[in-house]
Amino acid sequence: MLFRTALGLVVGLLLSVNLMASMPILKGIGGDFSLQSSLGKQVSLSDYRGQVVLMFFGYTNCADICPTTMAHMSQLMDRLTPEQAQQVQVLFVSIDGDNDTPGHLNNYLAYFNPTFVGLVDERHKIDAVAAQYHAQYEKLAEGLVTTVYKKLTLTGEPTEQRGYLYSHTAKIYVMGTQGRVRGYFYMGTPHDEMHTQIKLLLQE
Amino acid sequence: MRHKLLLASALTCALSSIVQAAPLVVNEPWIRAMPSNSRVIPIFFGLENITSSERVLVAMYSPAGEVEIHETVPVDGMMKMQPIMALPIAAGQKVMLKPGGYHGMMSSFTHGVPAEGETVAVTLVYANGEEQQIHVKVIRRAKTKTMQMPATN
Repeated sequence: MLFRTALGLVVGLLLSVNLMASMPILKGIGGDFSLQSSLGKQVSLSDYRGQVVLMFFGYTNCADICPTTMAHMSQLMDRLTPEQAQQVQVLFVSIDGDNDTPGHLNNYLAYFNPTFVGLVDERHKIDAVAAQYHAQYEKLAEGLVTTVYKKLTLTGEPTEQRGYLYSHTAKIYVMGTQGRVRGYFYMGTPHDEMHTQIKLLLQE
Repeated sequence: MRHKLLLASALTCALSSIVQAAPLVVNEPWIRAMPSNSRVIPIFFGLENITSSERVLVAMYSPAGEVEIHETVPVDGMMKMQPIMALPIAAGQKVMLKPGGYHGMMSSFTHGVPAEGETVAVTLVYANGEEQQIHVKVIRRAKTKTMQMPATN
């Protein structure tokens, strides 16, 4: 009886492992790119071959989704073993080059995890990467922007108040060790699930 | 004697203002601890309307900075941030200001970004003129179920 139970447990374990396939390769999305970074140099996606890359499009003047996502990823990093953590790279692509300088991004992201890298560049370069990854973003119509946000704007003509409140894709793009898009995490994806998927991708 | 009277009347005033100024129950208020170079930070809490009539939250203010009420809403696959001018809470109902939904957005800090461990006074303003001061602690991590789980390899 005990043997049977033990056998059942083993079979069950084997089955659950088999059922746990890694995320599929998504076609028609993603690809390499190079952008200026918070490290003070150009960074390419190909720099991270052999690592799992978690990429997010956001901006630092964002009170909710972006810091919630960064905190979620910070907590994820704390759960990984040091070896695993070395094989996971978080990239934060800023859609707000007007306000997010590489230095600002560096200080901001370091608070969540010193290994997080921020990417920011000329608008058309960011737009090209966003298009590659089917990431959408847009500024809220001028009329809807509040006075608080207008005051936050650091640049621009005083007569032309360029408020900004972005709508943006809130996915975390998950790239495998070969730099291909394998799926998405969200700020609500349980850490256990993220951890399991990352382990599977690192085993490939 | 005079002092005592003054003190008593001051106490009465204080007590009556507390009663009058606390119409709703505030649950687990917290501010996400954010980088010191942040220009905006979020304020979260639950509001429970234990009164018999609707209350509408129309504004918040704080000595620590300017506060607006915002909502994050999914639109066409994107998350959109929008200002909210009125947040109604029906009698007997609860509303949560939480990540990915309603939240207070503080900016234009008077003394810099509130640091982890600090407590920030925030006053809630209702449409009927009532005001309610709450004290919100700055914490690094939200209490989420996944956070309580032990680390695994």
